[in-house]
Amino acid sequence: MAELQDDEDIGPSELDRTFIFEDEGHTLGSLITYVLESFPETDFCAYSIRHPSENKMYLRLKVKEGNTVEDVFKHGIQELNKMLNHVKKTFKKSISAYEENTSTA
Amino acid sequence: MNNPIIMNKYSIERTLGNEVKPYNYDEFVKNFKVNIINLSETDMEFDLIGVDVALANSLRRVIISEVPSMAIEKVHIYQNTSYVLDEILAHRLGLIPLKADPRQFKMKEDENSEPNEHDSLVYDMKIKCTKKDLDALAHKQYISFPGMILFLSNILIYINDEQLTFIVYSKHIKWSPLGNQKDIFTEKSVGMINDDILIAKLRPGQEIELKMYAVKGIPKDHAKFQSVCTAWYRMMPNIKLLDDIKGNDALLLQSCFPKGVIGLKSYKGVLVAHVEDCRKENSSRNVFRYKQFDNKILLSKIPDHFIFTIESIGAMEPSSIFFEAINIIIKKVNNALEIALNQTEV
Amino acid sequence: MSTENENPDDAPKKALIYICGACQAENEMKPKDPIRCRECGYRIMYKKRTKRLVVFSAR
Repeated sequence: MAELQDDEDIGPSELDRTFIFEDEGHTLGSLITYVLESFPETDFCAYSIRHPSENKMYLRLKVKEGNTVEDVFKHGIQELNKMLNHVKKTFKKSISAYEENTSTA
Repeated sequence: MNNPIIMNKYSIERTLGNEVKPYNYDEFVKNFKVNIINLSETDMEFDLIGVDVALANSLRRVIISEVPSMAIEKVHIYQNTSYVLDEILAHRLGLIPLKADPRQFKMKEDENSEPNEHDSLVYDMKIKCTKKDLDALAHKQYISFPGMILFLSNILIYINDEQLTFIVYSKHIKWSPLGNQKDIFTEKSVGMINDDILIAKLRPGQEIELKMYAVKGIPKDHAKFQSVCTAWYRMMPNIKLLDDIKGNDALLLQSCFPKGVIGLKSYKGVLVAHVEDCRKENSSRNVFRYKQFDNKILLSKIPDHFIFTIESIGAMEPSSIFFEAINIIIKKVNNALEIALNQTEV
Repeated sequence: MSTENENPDDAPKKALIYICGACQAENEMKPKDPIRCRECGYRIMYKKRTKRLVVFSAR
């Protein structure tokens, strides 16, 4: 769980970092990238799975001057939590509404 | 809706650079909608409106490969003189769907630990094909047990052969409670979902005696742990008629789509086509075969409207499978934050 | 060799189950019994699989 070799020449920075997630794939990668990409503080965000036999997901996040990678990432996760909980709540409501409808009809 | 994916005769056209709408929570809350179209014990169809493909696809992926269920994992074979080999028999047993609700069980921590009432289910099967059974079977079918008429004809031999075979179905597997399980569960709540799954066929004198241990697992590990037959989504289709289509052309247009997509109305004795129900459209693109419809019809997909279908195997309701999936994603996301923060400390 | 000859009757004559090659009937046979099926008289007999436990993973 360290920085990637490619990034070593630039040196660890508060603005650019590659995170490594073991046992994760497109499920998590696309979701996090989607949210992080849309932030105004983000300069660049993308994920890759470098080799199918290597069970790792690499997520690179580059932020604009004046921000830190951790803060932006944390913010992204908070937004995702809010979004997913909203999906859950809405779905629950729809299910109970549907069941009420069908039981009365 | 502002950026539909347009389907042409030979290509799919999308406005580049705008495939992904930037995410904004308030916008999301305003636009997000769930419409349940159809909900039964095993099947569910619903619309997911106002979400990005990233979320729809993550949900689909998690439902298919990470929502846990129970399946037979270890088979203790005491006797098997059937023609089905031990390994193959064990594999077949593993794939039988169980009614047990995975939420009532824990994941087994150590694979080799002793099975207990919280993480395992035990099933037994003891079957022997005796002449007596076959006699009873034959009697039931109102055909006397054979032997002497064997040589009469090939057809008769075939019938006799069938009668000499005892068929083992999943209904012959019996659940045996562990610990206090018999106070919590019943044969119906943890037994077989289907009781007519063929396991093996026995000739007279052959027998199978075995004990099976079911555990909780995730489908990423093995397909037998799937809680859905399948789950998929498609984008909502949209059809626009850019010009009036009348008479015989209207009838032809109607025949280009599945039933119910195009409706016909008669104005002053002339049939005029109109779009009735886009949902049933199946992207066959049959309209593009005819010259007379050139530039008259616009087929497109609404990129943030997903028609999601979940087909449960039967252990869990499809709506519960969806909730499980969302909870798994939430857990994953928060786990990712923890990992990421730990990495910065290195 | 010699020890076997000294106590030939030491081990109890255990009945084992053999399956008839013709009619599949199960026959209990002791070491000195004639090799013959009691049901049909056929002389080819097969030994039955033991009830020893074998564990398989269902994969």
